[in-house]
Amino acid sequence: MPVTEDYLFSQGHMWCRLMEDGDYLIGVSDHAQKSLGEIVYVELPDPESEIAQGEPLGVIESVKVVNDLIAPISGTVIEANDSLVDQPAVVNDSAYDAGWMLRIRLKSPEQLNNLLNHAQYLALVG
Amino acid sequence: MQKHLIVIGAGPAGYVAALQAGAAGLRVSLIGGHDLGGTCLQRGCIPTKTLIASCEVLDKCRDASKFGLELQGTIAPDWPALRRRMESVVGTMTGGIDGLLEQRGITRIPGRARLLDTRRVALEDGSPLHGDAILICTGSVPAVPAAFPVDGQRVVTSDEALRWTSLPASLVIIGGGVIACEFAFIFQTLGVAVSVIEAEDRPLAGEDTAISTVIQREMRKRRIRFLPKALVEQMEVDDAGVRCYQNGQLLASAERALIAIGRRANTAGLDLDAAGLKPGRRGEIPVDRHLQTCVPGIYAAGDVNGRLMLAHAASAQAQLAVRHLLGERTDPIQDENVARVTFTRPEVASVGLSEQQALERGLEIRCGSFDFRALGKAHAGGELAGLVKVVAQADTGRLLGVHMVGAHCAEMIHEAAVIVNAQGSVEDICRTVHAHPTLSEGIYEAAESIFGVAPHKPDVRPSTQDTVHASYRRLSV
Repeated sequence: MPVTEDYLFSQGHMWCRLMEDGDYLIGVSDHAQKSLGEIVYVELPDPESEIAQGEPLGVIESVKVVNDLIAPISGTVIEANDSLVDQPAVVNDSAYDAGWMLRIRLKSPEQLNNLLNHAQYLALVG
Repeated sequence: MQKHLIVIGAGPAGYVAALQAGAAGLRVSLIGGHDLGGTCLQRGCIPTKTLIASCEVLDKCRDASKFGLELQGTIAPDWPALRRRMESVVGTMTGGIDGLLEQRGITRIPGRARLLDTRRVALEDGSPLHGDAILICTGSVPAVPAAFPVDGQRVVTSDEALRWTSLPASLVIIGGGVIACEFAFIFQTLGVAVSVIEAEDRPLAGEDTAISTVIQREMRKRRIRFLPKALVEQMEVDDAGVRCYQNGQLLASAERALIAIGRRANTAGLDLDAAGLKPGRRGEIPVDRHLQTCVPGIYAAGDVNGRLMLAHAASAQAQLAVRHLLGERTDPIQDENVARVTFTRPEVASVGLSEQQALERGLEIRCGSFDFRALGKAHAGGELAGLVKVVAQADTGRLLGVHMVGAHCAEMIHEAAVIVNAQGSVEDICRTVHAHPTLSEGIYEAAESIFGVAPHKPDVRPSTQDTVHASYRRLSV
């Protein structure tokens, strides 16, 4: 699925995207899934917990490494993508679509100013 | 004339002491044959490891397709058959100890004993027995707060769990230490829905935090529900099951509950007073570094002295006590340098100081870690989870501690245990060529990453030549 203009990116290689109901979906970038290799486990926070921009929200485990997932925005977890529990490799196949990780109720809209658009993110990762 | 040693208790401390003393030419009376091998053999280490072996086979079979194997039909645990296997293994080992005691001419006296004075005990039938020295090895029992109604069926300790005639559909485990975590992984593998309630903020709180982090993640992967910083204050038990509350709030409910919050010294009925012995704060019998109590000639080894609560420590202490009693020179056991192993899956093993403990002591340290998944053997074996963490003294490179979580770590820790106990250094690990492909290479890589460059560690920033050479610590010792 091509990345559209509404995808914003963090330096921590996560994206967020505004949904119709005002909440944001977040996930990891295609660059991230490529450098991580086959994803074997994603540890995500429970619904109703809080995440904070720049702080670890969970863990992503691949066949190569175990890395923290750094939150691109602050907010409340509304929903976690349960399909990743049994099929974490969906993140590799479809990082921007079926591999979404969390649905977040955004806390501070001004945080979006810290994020990059797709072109800027691509420039960052070379 | 032959000296007479009375040993009370026949667990890993008692029977080992008896065998050693017998071999050294002492006359030995071993009281307590009803529980040969103690908690370790009858209710603890051996039965649970037998179960865990079956769990490993079960897990591997469930993952058969991952290994390129086609399993036709299904595989399922058969609890009565699992129990029979446990009993068979325990029976074999009990017979083995029996045979050894027989060979060394140890006098076996069944039943319990209590102290009459500093040199005499009363046997179960009341008759007195005089010894030149007494070694108390009565072990420990599960600690159970009064608020928990242990009935041996719905609410149990580890003693009764292994004797269940059937498995529950769900289980709450109270406690998050070694025994609690081992049982959590065992029962989850056997198909039980498990919750673990722990007062500390992490599982295996006695280990380095790096280990707890991995184990907590592995619990999550298996859907073992872990509730940290939670204390069960009330427990309701009825036909519907068990419900655990803190401050009126429901923490967890399940069909049954397993209490595993620790063990306390077993001195009930010993009549310590009669020999002038006073139990410590937790009911343990205090001893000095020679395992001798405040009464010369009376020793206490194993769980009953509250020092380490580990079967191998019990045996080591027993041997030390016997050698001291024989007038031999003994080197005291450094408690923190006794290896500790936990058979969760993945396994946990550690020796020496954790990073946190070293910092608490004000030591200047450097740490290095290495994830097993960077090793070919981990991938070949299909066992990726785990890491090695090495704690070293910053200026000398002295090895302070090694902490591991991963497959086979309980075996691998002994490389580190030897070095730590020999007061060796990180360099001793680094200059030893580790065979390839093995998981032990992870120990080498973690050690090398502290002062040098670990060949296979990802994300290592290149340093200048000066930095690399300056940071190498070569010890001539």
